[in-house]
Amino acid sequence: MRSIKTLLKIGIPTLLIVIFASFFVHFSSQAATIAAVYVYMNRVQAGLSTGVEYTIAIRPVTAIPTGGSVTIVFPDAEDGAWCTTAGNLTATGVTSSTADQSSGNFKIASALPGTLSGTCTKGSGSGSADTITITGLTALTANTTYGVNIKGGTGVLGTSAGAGEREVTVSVFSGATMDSKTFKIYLISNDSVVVSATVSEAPTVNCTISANSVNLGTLYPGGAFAIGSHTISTSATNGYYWAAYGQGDGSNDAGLWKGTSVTKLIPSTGSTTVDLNPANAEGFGMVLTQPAGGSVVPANFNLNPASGVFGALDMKLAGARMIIYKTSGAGSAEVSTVTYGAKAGTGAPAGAYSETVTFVCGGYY
Amino acid sequence: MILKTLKEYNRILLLPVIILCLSVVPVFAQSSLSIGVSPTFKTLKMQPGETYSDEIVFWNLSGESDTYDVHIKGFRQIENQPGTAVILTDEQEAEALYSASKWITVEKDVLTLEPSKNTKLRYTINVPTNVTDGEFNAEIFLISKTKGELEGSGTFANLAAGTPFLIQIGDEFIENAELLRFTSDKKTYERINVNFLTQLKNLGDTHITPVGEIVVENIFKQEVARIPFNRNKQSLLRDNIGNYTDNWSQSGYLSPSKVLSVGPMKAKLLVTYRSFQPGFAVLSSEASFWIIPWKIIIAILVILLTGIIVVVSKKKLQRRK
Repeated sequence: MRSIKTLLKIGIPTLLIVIFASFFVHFSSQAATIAAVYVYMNRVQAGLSTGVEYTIAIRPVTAIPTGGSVTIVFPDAEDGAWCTTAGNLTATGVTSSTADQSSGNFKIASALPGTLSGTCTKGSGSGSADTITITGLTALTANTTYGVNIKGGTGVLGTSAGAGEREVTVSVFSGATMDSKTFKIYLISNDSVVVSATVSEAPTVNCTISANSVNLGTLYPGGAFAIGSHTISTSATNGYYWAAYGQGDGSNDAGLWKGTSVTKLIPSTGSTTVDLNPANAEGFGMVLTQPAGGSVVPANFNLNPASGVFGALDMKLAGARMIIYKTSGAGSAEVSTVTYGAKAGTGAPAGAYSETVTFVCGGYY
Repeated sequence: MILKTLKEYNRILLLPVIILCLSVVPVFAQSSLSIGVSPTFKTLKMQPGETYSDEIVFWNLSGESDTYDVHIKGFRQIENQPGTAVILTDEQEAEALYSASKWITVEKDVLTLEPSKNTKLRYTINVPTNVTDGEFNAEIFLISKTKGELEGSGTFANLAAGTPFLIQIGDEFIENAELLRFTSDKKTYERINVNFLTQLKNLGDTHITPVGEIVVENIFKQEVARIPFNRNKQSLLRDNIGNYTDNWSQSGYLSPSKVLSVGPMKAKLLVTYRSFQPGFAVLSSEASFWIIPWKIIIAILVILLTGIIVVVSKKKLQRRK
């Protein structure tokens, strides 16, 4: 009886003190929303059982003391889908990621500091979800965006089945200090596009002329010869050739033609070359440079334009002359410079002269 | 006062305009032309009355679109160059016995090639029922339309390319050829860079694709080189002559099998051209030439002469002593 009295004497006041004191206890936990967070996944396809990799950018609003952790908690109802196999992960601080914005909160400013280690734990039933945990953080500064990359071994990290939204919670905490944010990620049924193509077996040839017109400037009757140039370039699987012919006056010869009254042809006379050096010479021709790689420019066109001797052109399709060829493939474009030379004789009437040179390009059959 | 200020500003504003006007040069519009084509040729075996349809793909790698006229004509080789093609003129076409141009129809007469885009041209070949056996040819050929303007004298450039067709009608053909010439481009060489020139004439009624080897031997009849003839497999049209050039080059005077390649050399050409039992019709010929490394020979002679002079001089000095 006496002992009951003693118990009541001590017990009741103690209980009252505890109840009273509990009103004065200050709960010191500091939970806040993360200022900015993103989860960049290398695969967003639903139903993957391996190969998923995360890059997380996280910007706490409060300073997180040393010894903190980062967790990613996946939907409770999808146990074993995100952590396909529970185990260790590789967590590495990163200073940038593909998902970074150019500036602002969503740009990683610093690698997540510390000696990081990661684990993946499977959820088991209601109230326990698949969770990725990164530990070993040193102190985090408030309002700094930190980056971390998380990888798992084969068959460790996956995604749950079925396309659609998933709610995940990312938290960073140390002791009672915790910032967290819940947001949704979207999984799609297939995140890969298979691009296929077949390279044709048929031989090809590519031919380019750098300029469709060349101004030879003003020709002075009896004066020096004038030159102008452009390039031709070719690539081909099985050798190539170029031939050329002019129009001239349409009936006599190729050459620079003045079609208005008084008409006049500055001809491309000669079976091989036109020499514009003699004082009274008059004529039109062209020369080509020989590109490296085994192309051949026939001797009458393989001349230095400064010499004043140019290869003679013939007229119309029937007069097409070979100007360059190569009997083996040209993988990259082989470039030759075509230089036209023209000289007007003392009797050439004033006016505009022109010639249209047609370049025939082809691959061998 | 305001008007006076404006007038002063006008002078300042007019100055650049005057400078611009003085610096004007004649406008000279230039643009590039580009055409790619695949296939570069087509060989078909068809029967009278048969129809064949396919497409040629053209493309333009320049930055501007180009317009081309589509021509269908028989074709000929360019300057005895086997494997080349340029369409016939209207006059030549009228006289061409083996032109298949009238058998071919295309869906467009004018083709615009947009930059960096493949353009397909569909064609159909209808072989007449009354055609005789043999090989016929035609080319679908594009020639660019002349564009641009010239201020003063100058040249315009057009670009042309196409796909030649060799159409064999029937099953039996006469394949016959004659070797007209086989020689080296020079008689003596200091370095080994020899061009072998071969001229063949196709006497059959179909194209031929001659292949073979050129075997080079030194004075001791040791083989120093074996060069493929017509490595690029250029074909020769019927009733045509073709010039083939094959190069033999070597950096030193020893062959890869360590055989001396100096002095009088002999090259032997062996060519086959038949598609069936080619070994029964071999064309062969020989050419000879010299490889004389005269710079090396002179250097050796100078050294020998100097040595002899030194030895003789020493002996003379010894005798005097």
